[in-house]
Amino acid sequence: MSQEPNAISTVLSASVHDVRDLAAMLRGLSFSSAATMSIQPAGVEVMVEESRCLIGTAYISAEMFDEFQFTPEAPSESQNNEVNESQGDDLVMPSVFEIHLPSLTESLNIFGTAGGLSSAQMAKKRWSADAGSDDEPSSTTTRRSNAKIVDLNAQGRLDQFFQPQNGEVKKTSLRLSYGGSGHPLTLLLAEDATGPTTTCELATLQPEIPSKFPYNEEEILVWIIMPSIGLRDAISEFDPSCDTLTIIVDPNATQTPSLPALRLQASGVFGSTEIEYPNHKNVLETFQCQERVEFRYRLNIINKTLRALQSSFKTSLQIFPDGLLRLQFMMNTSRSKKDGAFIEFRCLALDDEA
Amino acid sequence: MRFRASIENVPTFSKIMQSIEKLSKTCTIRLTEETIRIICNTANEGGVQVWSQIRIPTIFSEYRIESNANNEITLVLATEALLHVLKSAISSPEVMVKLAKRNNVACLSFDIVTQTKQGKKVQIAHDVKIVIMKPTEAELLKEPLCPEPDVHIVLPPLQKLRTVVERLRSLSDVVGIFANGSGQLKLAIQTERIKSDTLWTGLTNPVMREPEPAEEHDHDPEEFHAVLISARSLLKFLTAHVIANTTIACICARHCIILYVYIGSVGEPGGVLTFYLPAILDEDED
Repeated sequence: MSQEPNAISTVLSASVHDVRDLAAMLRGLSFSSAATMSIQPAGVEVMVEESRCLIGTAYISAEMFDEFQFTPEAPSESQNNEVNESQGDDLVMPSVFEIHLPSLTESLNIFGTAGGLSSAQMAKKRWSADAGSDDEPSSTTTRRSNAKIVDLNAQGRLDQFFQPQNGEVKKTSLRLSYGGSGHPLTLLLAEDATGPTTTCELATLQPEIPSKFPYNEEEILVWIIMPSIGLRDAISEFDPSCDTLTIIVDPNATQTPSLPALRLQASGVFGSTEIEYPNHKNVLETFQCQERVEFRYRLNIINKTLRALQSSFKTSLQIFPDGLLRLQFMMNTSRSKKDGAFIEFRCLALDDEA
Repeated sequence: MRFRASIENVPTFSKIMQSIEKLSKTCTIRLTEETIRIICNTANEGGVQVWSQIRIPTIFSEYRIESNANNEITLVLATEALLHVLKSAISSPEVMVKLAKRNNVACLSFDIVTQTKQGKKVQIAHDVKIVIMKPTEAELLKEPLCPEPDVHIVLPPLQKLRTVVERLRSLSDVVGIFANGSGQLKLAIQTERIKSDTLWTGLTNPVMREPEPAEEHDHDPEEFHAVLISARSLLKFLTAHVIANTTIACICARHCIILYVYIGSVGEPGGVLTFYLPAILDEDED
């Protein structure tokens, strides 16, 4: 598409021919209605917060777009006083604003072709903010198993073939632009050249001061990398009445193969469920842990990450001192997996007194 | 008072009732020698009304009607009950309907002959309770008065509209429908959080009647005429995508939108379902 006449004053001008991947990334954070968007030369970060104990960030790199032009705004006085965390050589101020996330995700799906559930299924489902509802059909019925589970419908791959009867898989294309502080975020969406076009302007607000859950890489206690399927089936096993998730990681399992290396225990008023993972190569790809570690988390908070987990193919789980849990979900994108599109969550552990 | 007919086209009848069912719990059916009229004009939320006229051969065969009121019978029944019967009859070759009285209660009695998998014939009977309307009352049924529409436009496929309106409904309670004489249609919403409009071009503006010579100069074809409609009511109307072949929308700005849903082709329609959706009046009109 040709440049707009006022391209010089545009902070962001980006386009993508299929919004599916972008929509999938945003869906992982859809439990929150407010999100902070940070537009940088490297791409867009979308951050959400929950109950001051969970931060979720979707890293949407510029490579996920067909076109991505970012012209930084002149920094305002208040921004000049802040230390910039950007990694660029020059001090490039990202453009940061708050947006209403459901408005953005609904707009991307205006023609019903942004992926996820088909429009027929969407019509039957209520929009559920609780990520605990398992709304993506899973073709696996195996429960706790060390065998490799083949999920034919992972990331909605099979769903792609059950599109509307006309047989074509339609895509929605997007042109995204942002004029800077005080301007709305503009979306221009179209399905094909002959079809309708939609123009949306989403109100942008001053961003809230974000919580930060810093960690020190050198103080890492646990690092596990595993295929997401193993975690996903396990977490959806948990009874909804459970309120606490205890994660126990034990390095002694490497000497004693029968001891589980990773244990997830969900407990509540009615009882508890425990899922165990041995340290086998096809269960846990990477396992790093020096000493036994045990921390508790609110299960309803962990459940917020389910949607992102369901759309990912690999999970990295890290635990830092005080139990800070860092989950990174590598998202399956229609482009190559090398895009490195991922969603990161940081979750605070429950204090023992609680 | 006698009425008896064979329902030749259960799917069409069923789809018509499906289009109406979400909009109104009860409906009035007026049977005449030539037509069946299905009317929903009870005070329901949104003030939506449906007036339809369908030629008898579109749905029935072996049609016999007799009454003291010019061989017309007007009755009221529960929409869902009738839809339920039609759905269960959808694959039967023989469906008969007649006016009957069971235990002193008037009803429409349906006889459905169907086959089991083994090929054995099974007969199912349904009785749908009805209330017969007196001819004097029936005469009072009148379509709502509307001013001359500002613009007529053939809508894009309702299925497509429905996808968009489903999304818009989750963002706003009110949807603005804009159309002009240059074949353009816009569905727009405006809230604190989002402004969105979806534009279709290349649509047809049908000529509904011969235009007066004076009118031709007044109207700028590019000018949009708009009406604000409840998103829920609009979505309920769009259930008619199951039956709609061609739909023509007529906008009476600040009053209502009238939607003519043609069953069959526009030239030789088997029937027309007319939907009246009232406008939501906005104090600060732009």
